[in-house]
Amino acid sequence: MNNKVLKAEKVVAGYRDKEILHGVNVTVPRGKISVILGSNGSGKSTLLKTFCRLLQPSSGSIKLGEQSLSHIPTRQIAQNIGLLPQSTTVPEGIKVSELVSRGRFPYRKLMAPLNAKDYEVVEEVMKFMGILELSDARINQLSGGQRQRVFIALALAQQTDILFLDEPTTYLDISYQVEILELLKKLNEERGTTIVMVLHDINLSSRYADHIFAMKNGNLMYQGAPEKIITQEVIREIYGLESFIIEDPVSHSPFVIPKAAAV
Amino acid sequence: MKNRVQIENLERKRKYKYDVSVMLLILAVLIIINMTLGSKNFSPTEVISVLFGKDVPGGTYIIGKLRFPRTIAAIICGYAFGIAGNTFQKLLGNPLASPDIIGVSTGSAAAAVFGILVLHANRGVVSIMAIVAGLVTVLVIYLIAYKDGYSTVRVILTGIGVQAFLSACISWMLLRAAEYDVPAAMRWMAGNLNEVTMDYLWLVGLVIGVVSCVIAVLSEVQKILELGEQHALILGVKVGTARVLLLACSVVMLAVATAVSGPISSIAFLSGPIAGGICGKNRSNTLASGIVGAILVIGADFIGQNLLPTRYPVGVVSGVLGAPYLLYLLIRLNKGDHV
Repeated sequence: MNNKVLKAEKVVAGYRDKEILHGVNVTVPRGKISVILGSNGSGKSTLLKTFCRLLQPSSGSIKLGEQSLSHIPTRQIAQNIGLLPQSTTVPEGIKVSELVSRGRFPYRKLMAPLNAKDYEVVEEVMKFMGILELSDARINQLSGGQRQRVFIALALAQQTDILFLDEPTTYLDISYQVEILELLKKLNEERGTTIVMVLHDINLSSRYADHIFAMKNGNLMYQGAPEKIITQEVIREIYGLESFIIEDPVSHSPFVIPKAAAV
Repeated sequence: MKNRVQIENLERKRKYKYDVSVMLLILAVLIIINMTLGSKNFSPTEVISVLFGKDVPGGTYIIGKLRFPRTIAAIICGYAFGIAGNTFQKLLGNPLASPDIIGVSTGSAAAAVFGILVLHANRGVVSIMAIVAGLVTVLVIYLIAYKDGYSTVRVILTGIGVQAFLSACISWMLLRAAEYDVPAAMRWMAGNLNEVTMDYLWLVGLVIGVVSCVIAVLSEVQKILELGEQHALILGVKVGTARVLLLACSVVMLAVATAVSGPISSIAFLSGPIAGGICGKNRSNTLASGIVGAILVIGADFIGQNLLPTRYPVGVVSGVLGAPYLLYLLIRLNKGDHV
């Protein structure tokens, strides 16, 4: 594990004619699970994309350690930062182990076949994600939850200290959502992987996050532990929603019960 | 100790090698048939004697000057069309995105026709014009289709339009041309292996061989690109550079081969899917597509020369093979299925 801290410094970013992030400062807490919350259009996915260099900041910079990401060779970044994108493309006819093996790309030399270390890592992450038995199956034969585990395994095969996930539980049944989040928690606890994700579900975020970033209109409004952030006032400000806060009987974290939206 | 993933992977590789060997065997058989049978039949011994420089009455000319160059040209061009087509289809993620469907081959052919009929240029100049025109055609299609990023469907539809326009240009040039130039230019309509000679085939083979090696070296990168732009970036691929390099290599192969044989229809379009059907779609299939391409061209040329009532150019026969598959894909596209 190296000790590089990832942070956004005064990041302004967006798409061609629309600025979405207006000067965001974020330091990713190392070895923790962080969740970025915010309503639609608040800039949470944009922030995630900027952190993963899929989007270049128009001013400000993303720094890994002391260096700006734009000055680090892309292969080297690929060994430090992984991402599970919101939508994934499955190449036709590909098998599970083949897809996971592609995560080894940042470590491979041109032309060289997968080496013993690559195989070891691929098998190990597949075991961790509980998909080793599926290794010869085609991706399109899998359920949504299994498929998501395969793509997380791909990201794990990349062996990065920092893993970003863009809405990893969207489109999944509730049981699969919890299953995926439990796996991520295990990943964080056993290996110290820093996890940053965008989630829509406030209550699951509250349960699994160590740290929450609350965004609104392209600015970071609040950050801190769920107990500090998931409050009536913050929920009202971020989502424009009146709510009660109770205690989650399982995890004892704050649990949001919405009243009617302020219309 | 080998782990499970490794064992499965080795097993897949073994199967691929087996499939490729069988294809090579089929190609070898076709080469032998093509060299021995025809308007006049020769025994394999006679063919070999001629190739080693011995004089065989009646055979030296037919085998040495006609069949041998023709067979070599068929292999080289088929190989080039097959690999170029497969690379386009894999990069754009759609079997319809083949260079002969989206007008890249036609662009090269149009430039070649212009060079021959209007400029009366020699073969070297014509080849270079064909390469440049192929690259320009890709660029034009890309620029027309680009709108807040590019979509494969837009590229395909634009390409089909460009293809129609360029075919019309070729027809117009042929209609306006001096009558005695037309037979030489006709090959650019459908592809034809008549009148190829060994003089330049060595050089063509060398260029295509080297460029296909570059594509093969990049096959791992190509596989990563199949995961989509975002994922490829995350895995450390310089997406823009990789894509341009792979497309440029394909266009060079395509254009050089087109300068020899004209745009032999459907070979680029069919080879990748056939190779995928045999070896599995989960590989880059670069080599396999090349071999399938060579098999298709040799086979179609043999049929066109010997098995039909009149002699047809190879492109007519291969075009007949491609048409049903094209229709099938278009119908699927029309139904809104993911092609």
